[in-house]
Amino acid sequence: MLSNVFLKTLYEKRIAIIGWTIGILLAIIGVGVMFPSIKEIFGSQMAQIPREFQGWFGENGSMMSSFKGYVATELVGNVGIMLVIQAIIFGSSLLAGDEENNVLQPLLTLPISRRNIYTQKWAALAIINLFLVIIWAIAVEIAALLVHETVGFNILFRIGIVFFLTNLALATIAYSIGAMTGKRSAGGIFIGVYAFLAYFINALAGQGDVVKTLNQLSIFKYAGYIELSSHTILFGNIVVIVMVLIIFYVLGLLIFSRRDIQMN
Amino acid sequence: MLEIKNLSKRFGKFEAVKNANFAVDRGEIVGFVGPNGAGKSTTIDMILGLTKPETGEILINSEVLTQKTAAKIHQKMGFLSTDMNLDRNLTGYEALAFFAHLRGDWTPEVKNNIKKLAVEINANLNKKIKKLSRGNRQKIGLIASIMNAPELLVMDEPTSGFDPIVQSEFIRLLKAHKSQGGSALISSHNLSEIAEICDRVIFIVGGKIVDNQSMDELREKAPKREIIDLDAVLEKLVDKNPDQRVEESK
Repeated sequence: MLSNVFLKTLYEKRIAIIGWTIGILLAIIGVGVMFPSIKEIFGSQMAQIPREFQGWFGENGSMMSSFKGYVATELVGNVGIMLVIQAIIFGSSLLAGDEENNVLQPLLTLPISRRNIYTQKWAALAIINLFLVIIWAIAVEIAALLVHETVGFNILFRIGIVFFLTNLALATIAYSIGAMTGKRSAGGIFIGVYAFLAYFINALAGQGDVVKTLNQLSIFKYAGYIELSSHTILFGNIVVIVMVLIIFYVLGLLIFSRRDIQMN
Repeated sequence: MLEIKNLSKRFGKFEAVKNANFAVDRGEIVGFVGPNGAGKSTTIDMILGLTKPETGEILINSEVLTQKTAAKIHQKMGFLSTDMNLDRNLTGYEALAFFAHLRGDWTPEVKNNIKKLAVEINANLNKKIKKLSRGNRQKIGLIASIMNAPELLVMDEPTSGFDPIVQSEFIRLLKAHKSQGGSALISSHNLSEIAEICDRVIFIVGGKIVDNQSMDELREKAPKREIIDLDAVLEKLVDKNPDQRVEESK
């Protein structure tokens, strides 16, 4: 397990990964089994929710009438924010956290290039995110079984792929800012604030031209989970998400490879 | 083995290292001595490739150190810092195994060497790093720096946290390293600690190399003393460089 930086990073984070796995399983299954009650409530109460806030529940709440819609709005869009949070936490801490704790510096005195360290740690970040999205999908299936519903493999696969790429893009932004600055808080705070605003704007995107324009900057617009429950993946949206990921990955790599790293 | 040519480093307006020139020959142990803030750690950070020099160059085995050559050059080097921070959630043995793997040298010989060194300096390899005291963490760091028999050891105030027994063991290990043709650059502000093992001492004050003498030369200058009062030597050098005091007061 300790033969390279990639495996060592996974080994080192094993307790945190187990913790997030348990948390995601409990949260998704817990909220998932509420579906029959939520469906009933939304059937009768939706009209009483102000129109401006109906968007929080997906296309004026109509999505709540099917389990696949419930998955897209609640289990990804709302409870799934847990995975966004873990992506930002892992992303901001993997490299910058090591630098702040002076653990990175001894590593840099070994016969391994900075580029290699950056890439291997990012690969570990990607695998952690992929693993937790798979856990999320398993939790959704368990919840579906418990409430005698089905999601459909295709829908779950589509949502899962986009969910993974979106989380990884956010994690990569946090990771690269951390690598550029050596400050865990720099990446964490910046992307945390961005993710919160992007999520909020996307939820209200139907309301007004200003919000619609701002929503162009929200990564969640390109994720489009609600659309994915009934339509195929839009190639253009994936390109935007992947481009954001690549730009920040390369920026972080270039600056990290060249900047001074001192003992704190 | 190690050549430093016209090395300078600036942090904003503060010039931390000013046109430093010195060398460490093969099989030589050199002390790098100066008060706090003199530029020792900045110089060592540059030798390790952690920070880039403003001007000048560093050659190790006649190869210029750059970001591109750093990984290859590090194959020949071992490093120990004041407070060696290794991954807290690994045991000492796991941390050493990881380092040896990255050196591409996780061989039965290295494994035996780790076990032998652990016995010699009484290091606990089975406890997690986070549960070890600073001195015991430093012992793991010491093993990490020498387990693969590097050609050049770079040590930044390495003896902090060592008790007297480990301190004498540290000196014995360095002598063994030297007897096998190894070189070392050891920074310290505690001159008496390294006087016993050094062939030569380089003094740095206010970012400038102010003296570079063999231990024999230093002993000649103080023939009547059995132990050279290096602290007094250093104090005189600081007095000669008033800008050091000005920089420290800033």
